[in-house]
Amino acid sequence: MTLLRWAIDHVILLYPPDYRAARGDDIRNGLDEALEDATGLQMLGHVVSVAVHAWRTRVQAATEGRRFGALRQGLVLAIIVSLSAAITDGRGWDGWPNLFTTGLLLAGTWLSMANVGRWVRLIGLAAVLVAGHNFFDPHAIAIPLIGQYSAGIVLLVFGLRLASAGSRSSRHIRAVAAVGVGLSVLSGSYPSTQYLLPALMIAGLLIGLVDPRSAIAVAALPLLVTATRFNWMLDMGLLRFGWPVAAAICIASLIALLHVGGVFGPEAGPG
Amino acid sequence: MLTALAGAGPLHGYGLVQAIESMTDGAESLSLGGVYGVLDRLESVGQVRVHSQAVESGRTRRYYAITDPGRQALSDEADRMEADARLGRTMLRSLADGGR
Repeated sequence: MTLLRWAIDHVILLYPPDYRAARGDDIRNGLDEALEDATGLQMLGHVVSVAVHAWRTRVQAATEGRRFGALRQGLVLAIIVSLSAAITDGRGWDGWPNLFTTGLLLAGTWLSMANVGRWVRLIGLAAVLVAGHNFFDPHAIAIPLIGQYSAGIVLLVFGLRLASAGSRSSRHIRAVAAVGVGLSVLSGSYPSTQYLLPALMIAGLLIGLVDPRSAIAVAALPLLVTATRFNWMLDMGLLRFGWPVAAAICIASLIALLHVGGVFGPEAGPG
Repeated sequence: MLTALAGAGPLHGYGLVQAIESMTDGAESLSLGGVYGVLDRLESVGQVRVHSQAVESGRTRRYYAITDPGRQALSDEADRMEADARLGRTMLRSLADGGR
């Protein structure tokens, strides 16, 4: 509980100062009460959901009504972190694909959360998708570990957020799927865990079965990604588990990306 | 969320989460962060407003209420869903009639 209190203190600090002054107390009260009623995973889910809201509020405040401003800020952020990645990677400019992928991931993530139109956020998500495409390819580009771990943590966070949202019938299975993707990405750098990945991804296929709205929305994209990743799946030995597993990887990843971007999900509707 | 505010009166953020769970017998539940995100958006389009503030545990808590534009939006949405349901029932009836 002490750890949770510490987490709450820091989560509230994530809000932009103006917003924190106006709403911080209110949100903190809600979080305190929610934690009293919650158990285990739900507790973490509430803390994480507020942290995600805080971060999105911060990004949106920084990009208020500035489409190109958002793009510029995303690119600056991407360049700074990409340069850091290049230095920590130890390959300097020889590692330019790493810069490209890391930059694309960050710029896309930033844009997908920015306070701009839905189509611009979708472009951001597309950039994340392209970057993710490279993330999941062990041959094309060696992503700095920091990037890989970041992606894994983002997906884990997403899974925990789902654990406290959505309908009762689907919330746990969606959480399992997202956490599965996160764990897989985190462990993906070790060949011995390659068979753990498809096992975890099967949960992703179930997402589409219990949440038709998301499944319909992303139905076209998994097919595309499945087709382009055919060779990779062969290399990884995934096809020995059959096409449902391959499709599950794509569906889980894409739904995770779309939810993280806020294009779908409980807060995306009219209320 | 608008339905909960219309039915249960002014509520604070976590109160809304509880009201929605209660109204749907636990079938629907919103994350806390999601609730505050939606409240922000509904407030920005004028469909909810801050009804009152109270100090609890030394901290200010806001209670939200539905506004007239909010009631109109809720009514429009209910009409749309009613029309969809009517259309669905009509199609089911014609399918049944055609099958005879």
